[in-house]
Amino acid sequence: MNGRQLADRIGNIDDRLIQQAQEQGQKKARLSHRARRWAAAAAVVALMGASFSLGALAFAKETVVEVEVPVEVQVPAELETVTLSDIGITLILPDDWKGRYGVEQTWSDNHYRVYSTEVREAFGRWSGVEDEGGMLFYILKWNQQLTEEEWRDPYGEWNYARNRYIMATKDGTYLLYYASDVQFTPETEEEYRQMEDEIDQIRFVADGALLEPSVTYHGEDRELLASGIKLDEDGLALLRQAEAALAQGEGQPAPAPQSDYFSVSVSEAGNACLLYQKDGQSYLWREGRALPLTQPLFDRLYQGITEQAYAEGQKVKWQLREENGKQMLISRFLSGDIKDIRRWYEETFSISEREEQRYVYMGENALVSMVDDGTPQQGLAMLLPETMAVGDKLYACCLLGFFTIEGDELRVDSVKAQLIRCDLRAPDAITGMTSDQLEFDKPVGEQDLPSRLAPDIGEYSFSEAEAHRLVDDLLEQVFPECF
Amino acid sequence: MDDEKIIELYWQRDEDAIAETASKYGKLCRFICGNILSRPEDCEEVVNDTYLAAWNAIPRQRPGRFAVFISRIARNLALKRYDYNAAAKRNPEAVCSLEELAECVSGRANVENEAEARRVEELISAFLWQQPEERRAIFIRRYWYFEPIADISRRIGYSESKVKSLLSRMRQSLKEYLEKEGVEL
Repeated sequence: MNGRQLADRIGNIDDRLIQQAQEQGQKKARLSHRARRWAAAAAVVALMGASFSLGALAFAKETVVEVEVPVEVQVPAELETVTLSDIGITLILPDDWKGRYGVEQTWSDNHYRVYSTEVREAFGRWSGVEDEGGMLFYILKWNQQLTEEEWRDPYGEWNYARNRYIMATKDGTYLLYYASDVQFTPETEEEYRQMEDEIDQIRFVADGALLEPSVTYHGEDRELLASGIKLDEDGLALLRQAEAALAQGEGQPAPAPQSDYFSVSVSEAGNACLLYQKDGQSYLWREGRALPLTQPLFDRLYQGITEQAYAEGQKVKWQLREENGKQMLISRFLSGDIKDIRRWYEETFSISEREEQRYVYMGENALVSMVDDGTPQQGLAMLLPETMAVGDKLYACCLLGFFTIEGDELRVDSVKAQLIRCDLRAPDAITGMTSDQLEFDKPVGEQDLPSRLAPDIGEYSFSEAEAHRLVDDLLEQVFPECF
Repeated sequence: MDDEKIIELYWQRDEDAIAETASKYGKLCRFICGNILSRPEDCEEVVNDTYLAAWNAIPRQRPGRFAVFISRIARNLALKRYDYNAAAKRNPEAVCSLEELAECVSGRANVENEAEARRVEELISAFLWQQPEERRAIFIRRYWYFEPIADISRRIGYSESKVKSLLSRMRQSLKEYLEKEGVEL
């Protein structure tokens, strides 16, 4: 049989199946998936008698009351659940997780890990290490009762990674942590991401009570959920402004931002802007005007400014310029003032050891691992990445520091400039060039690019402004079409 | 006009039957044909052929579910036109759906007799009845209606990756089910 024949066979299935599918597609007011599961779970709780008391409070603001005869939760068969008996929590998982996940206890009785079985198997084959990879989330207990305010404290030691508040008991606070490193192989990324997207849907039942859905803490005040619909106060205020301006006929005629939108950091001009999509078109709303964006530019803005920037805790300053009919977005990831690149490198790098490898960290911008066999090690780190998106092209310029480590001493040998250009529609198509070594003792304006021989002749000084000018010059020389 | 009255018009050979069919189900027929054929003129032609085919089929038949009856005619005629046009490179969605289904089978076109074909159809129906309603709907929308995954995703409220993942698992399950029932794939 071939696919076409199978299609014919499917064409003649039971009429009732087709009618049912037809009717389901026509339903106008359909409960969202989340709402349906909520309704089902809430119905379960409502069916239980009133003769139980809560042993856990969502946010512990007072002494937790001891549980009195918890009634066994009768969860409908169609709900996918897992009970963590040691801690008395039942997780209501997405229906389609059935048969696709595993649960294990690690470290201690109060630490549970939930993983994708398919992704774990693939990860194990790839890494050669069993029982690793595939982790979707883990639940652990902090030995203190946290109020909501305390939980949100960015300096709280529990906020080392993205997490959700589950509940607090007299013994401590239970948090659900998302995986913070790569857990999948290339071929299992889709499977993993699909389940990862649904973690926010998980609900918890404890002592017969369905716990209130908790927010997710990303480590910053602004929360950008995977579904992308949450604004902070700035964004909300902007939205009201934008709607008011539109109502008065000001600005370009553009759809009011009513659908998905995202808050972004302030621009160089100090204005907060709104990034949003409406009816398949992406826009940037700034200063009362709606600027249409190409999808690659929107994606670049969103990824570069939101996920990456917030994940790395860096501030991002950017500017959207329109010149000669071209739309240019210049974003700069600031890594601090740079007076002395070499000294900065050497002070910022720290060397640590882990098993048989040595790691060199440079803030959040570079991580180099080396095997320590006693010989001087060399590596490079990226400094001051600057990106510019023009239409469907992305240009990036960064400075590369080449260093040598002998023992515990790090020495920056040289700095080069690297420029790359990629097509945002085809990210694999990248062209680039790397300059010769830059001369430390020469001002930026006198650098002769791209060819140069630069002996290392001692102290030098690059100011941040000079460094920025350097990358602008580099971009202008090598990719003049940007300008 | 309700379906029974429309069918009665066919039985009475009243040409208003076609106008009423077009009025009530024209959009559905165009939807189905549009998912299979890329050229609007082909779609229009097939939709008109659908009405003619219904006119020729009724009387003799008195379909209990007219919407499904007319949809099936549209689907079959559209697929025939697809084959005729050798439209493999013209409508990626139809090709994608067929390529996905090809994963379930050997790929060797074989000669099926009517009884074998009916048996496979009953087995597929039985398999689908075993699935949760929502998954059934997604499967049917993809492989009966050839609906694009993006549209299914919006309609059902799942992400596209979830829909794709779900369909992949269902295809695998269908394959295993048919093999277990002794169907030569």
